[in-house]
Amino acid sequence: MRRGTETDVYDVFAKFGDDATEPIRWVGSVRSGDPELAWHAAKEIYTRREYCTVLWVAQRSGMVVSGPEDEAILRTPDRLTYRLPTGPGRRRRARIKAGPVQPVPR
Amino acid sequence: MTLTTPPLTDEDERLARKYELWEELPEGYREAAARIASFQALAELVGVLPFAEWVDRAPDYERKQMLVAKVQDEVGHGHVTARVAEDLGVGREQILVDFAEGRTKLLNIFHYGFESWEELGPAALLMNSSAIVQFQALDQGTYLPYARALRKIEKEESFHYHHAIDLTHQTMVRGSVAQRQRAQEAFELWLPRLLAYFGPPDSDTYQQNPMYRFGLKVKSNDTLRQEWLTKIVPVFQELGIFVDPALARFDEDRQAWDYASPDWVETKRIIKEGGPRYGDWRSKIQLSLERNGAYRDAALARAAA
Ligand SMILES: [Fe+2]
Repeated sequence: MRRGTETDVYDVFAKFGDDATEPIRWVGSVRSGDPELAWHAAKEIYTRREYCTVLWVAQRSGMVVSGPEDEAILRTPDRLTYRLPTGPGRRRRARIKAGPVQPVPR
Repeated sequence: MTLTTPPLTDEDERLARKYELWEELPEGYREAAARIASFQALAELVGVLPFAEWVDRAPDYERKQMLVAKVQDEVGHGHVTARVAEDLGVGREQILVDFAEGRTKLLNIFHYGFESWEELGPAALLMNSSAIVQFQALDQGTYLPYARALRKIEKEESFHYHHAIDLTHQTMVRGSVAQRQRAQEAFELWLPRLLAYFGPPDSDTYQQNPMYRFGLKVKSNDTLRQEWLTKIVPVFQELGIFVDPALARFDEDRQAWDYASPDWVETKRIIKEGGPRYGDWRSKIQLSLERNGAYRDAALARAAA
């Protein structure tokens, strides 16, 4: 990962519509010399049609972003197989194969 | 700018591999993507000028509001595509300065203005529909930041398209004979311009074009031109515009459109030497660069501090 460098670029995040469960998502970026003006530019450029409920801008120089070199550590399936949904399935098959449970003798 | 030619790949592969800004890009790809994004940014910003000058001549308040919305949308498209170019290393100042100083060529349709209000509707309808056909192909392209920008732009273009239909419809329903005549003439004036806008007929080697091979250009000129005619001719007919078969006619046997070949010599001349309003648009851009220069410098100095 690396720190963003541009001080005059703001990434824009927004949430649209009435569905409160919708995530806030990245919609694009604007160029601006000032954070508040960046927010206004984002409003004018990215909220022209849909009903927008949340609008954030983040200066790129204040962000930390992943790069291609992070691919390996970000790919959960490759390094953390036990977290995958297929894990319990594999265990279930192993259980079936293992045969019947043996109750404690009374 | 010279483009390095990428290796030949088969058709599916051509569009299947997509790229993000931060990925390692094939040799020459970055320049090609920057070129297409900066070219569109300029087209959006200059393409809106003929509409902007009609804002204070709009015949009623509602039309004025719609026109203002369109103008703002288009400038927004300019910002969004300029951001794509800027992330690839081509600044918006450079895009505008290159144009103002005569180093960038404009597509033929951006060299004109409108002579009457009745011309604006049919011309806008032809332009919007061709932009929509172009963008719907381009958004399947391989550079993802550009494809995303286009998806946002398409939503607004579709609003402009319906606005242009409505505007033309108003003329054709409520207009005088002279006004309807102007709408008819506008169609006949702009149709060949838009046919030319899609570019020269496909050569045998269009697939060798680096833009095409990179998957930044998705469909061939002729494919797009045919798709566009299929979309737009019935719309005009429905609006009561007479589409002269000599201008465009669907050939049932070939299942393709025949159309009057645009004047390619004149088209090339306009692009090279400038059309009727080219000088006006250049000086407008020049003026706004000068007028806003002090504010821009102060804002950017503050951002950097
Ligand atoms: Fe546009």
